[in-house]
Amino acid sequence: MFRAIQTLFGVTIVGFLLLPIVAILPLAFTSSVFLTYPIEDYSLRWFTELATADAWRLSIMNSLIIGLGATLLSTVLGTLAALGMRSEVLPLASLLRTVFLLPMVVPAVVLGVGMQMLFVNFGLASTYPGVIVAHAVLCVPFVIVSVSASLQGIDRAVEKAASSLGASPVTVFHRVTFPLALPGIISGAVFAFATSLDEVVITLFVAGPNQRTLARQMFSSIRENISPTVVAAALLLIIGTLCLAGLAAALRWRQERNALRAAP
Amino acid sequence: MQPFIQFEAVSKSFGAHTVIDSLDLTIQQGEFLSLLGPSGSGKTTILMMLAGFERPTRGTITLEGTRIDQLPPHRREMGVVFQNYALFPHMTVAENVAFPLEMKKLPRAEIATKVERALDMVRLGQLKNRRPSQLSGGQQQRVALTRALVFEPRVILMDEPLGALDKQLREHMQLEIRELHKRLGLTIVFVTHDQSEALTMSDRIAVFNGGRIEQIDSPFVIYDTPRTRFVAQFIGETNLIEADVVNVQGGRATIALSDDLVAQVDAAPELAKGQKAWFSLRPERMRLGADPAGDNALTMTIADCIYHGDHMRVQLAQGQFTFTARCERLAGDWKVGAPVVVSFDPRDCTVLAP
Repeated sequence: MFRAIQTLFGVTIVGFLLLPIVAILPLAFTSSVFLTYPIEDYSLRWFTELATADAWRLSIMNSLIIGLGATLLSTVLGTLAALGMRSEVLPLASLLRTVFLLPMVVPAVVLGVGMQMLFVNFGLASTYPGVIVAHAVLCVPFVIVSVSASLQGIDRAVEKAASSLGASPVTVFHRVTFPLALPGIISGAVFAFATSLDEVVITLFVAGPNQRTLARQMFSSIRENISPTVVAAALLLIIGTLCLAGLAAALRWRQERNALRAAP
Repeated sequence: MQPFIQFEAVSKSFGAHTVIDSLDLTIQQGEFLSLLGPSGSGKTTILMMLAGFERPTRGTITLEGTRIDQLPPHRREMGVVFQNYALFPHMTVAENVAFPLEMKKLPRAEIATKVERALDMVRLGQLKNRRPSQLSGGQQQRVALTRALVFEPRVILMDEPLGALDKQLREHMQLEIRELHKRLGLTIVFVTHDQSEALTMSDRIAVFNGGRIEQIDSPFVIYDTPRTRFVAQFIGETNLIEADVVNVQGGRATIALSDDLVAQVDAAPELAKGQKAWFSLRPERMRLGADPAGDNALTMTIADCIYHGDHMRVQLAQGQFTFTARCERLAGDWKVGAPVVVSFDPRDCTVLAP
């Protein structure tokens, strides 16, 4: 009895989370210009629209440029931060960690307003570097969390062994620490890219018309003219995100399996 | 002869906590030295200072006359075998073993030959393309050992390397390491808390307690003539009882465990009449039954008799004392509650200053 209620509750919650997505996605394939059921005829015209209309094409390009830029920047910075906070000699490590993770909890609106004001002073407002930096701030916490976790899984004795076998600290890093942390770095980068891809709020504040990203374009086109192109774009985003999430999960699974096996 | 490794007045503190206090220790070339002690006695700290992972707070460490205590680990040429093996999980067995040779920048062909030969020596040639995670504990242990030996370091340091293995494998590895030590003339410093391991393998044992060396001697001397109460208790099993020295005469002493329990023992030179002392007697040195051939024959009561397969353990009571004796399984039929005559040779007792 209790078990049945449990199952029912679970199914309800999953349905609540998934139904809105499932309900709208078929409309990407409608031939009508309205977002309404029933679908009378199926077509790929909205995907064609996505690929050919300048506004949509530009926004997809922008999302890729900004996403890759923010991923690169945040992965480098986040990895360095995670490495730095690992050493016990740093007395403020735990305080620093809190500061680095702050963008996860600070309301995006607050960050957006602050960055806009700051970027105007630096001439970064409405520029690609500006948007990339803004996104990177949001992405860094994900990289730090992921890389820290994988660094924690590295047995210090392995690094000690390397140095006793004649490896200098630099060699220990690039032959032992880095390869062992790599799955965490890659999965951090995946999270960073996914975060940048669906970021809207901060983009609204710091991006100009030329840096309109896919998410931002969807947001405005919903308000201006509701066309099934938005749903086609959403489908694209969901598929992209699922692929990335799958990649991250696969990497994590592999790492956990290795860690499990390495334990004596 | 110049000592190979020398610790001079080495101290190590972590904050206010002193782990090693002014320690002197010399290690000879080709020696197998065990550092034995309970956990927290400082033995691992000594090893870590030798390997370079810890720096002494005070004092100097020299290797062949050269100071090494400030050198970083990668300049010390010491092969370290860690408790959990510390193999590189992302490299194959062959890559693990090749690592120290690559660090020495040897030519590729020479590395390949050396790795091949080293792995064959420990019968791991078949497994060279496996990852450490695909090996058993004993195989991982052998890889760790090979990796530490292959670059011909000046000293091999081992930190409880056999702790994670089961008993049978551990005994096998003990013999294997001992064999390697003899064959290659290695200098080995071996940290362990397992006294039987230390007795089996070592040329000398340093018994640590509270950051100091209680005694450093060959296994025979450590076992047969412990110099302190701690050593007597920590190595092997012993009956240890506080006694009064009643008389000292010509190398023999008479000691009283209680009013009616008096024993003759070989006296240490520093023993004086009227002193308190600790009397130590190994269970296997006690003989039960008739034929009191020695100078000591005491009558005790059998309190319990425990069967151990290859031997019997007999608990003996006398007044407020309990003794444990170890006897042959077939030596006699001991009845609980019966009186029995216990005899032992004065040479087999040790009397220790309090």
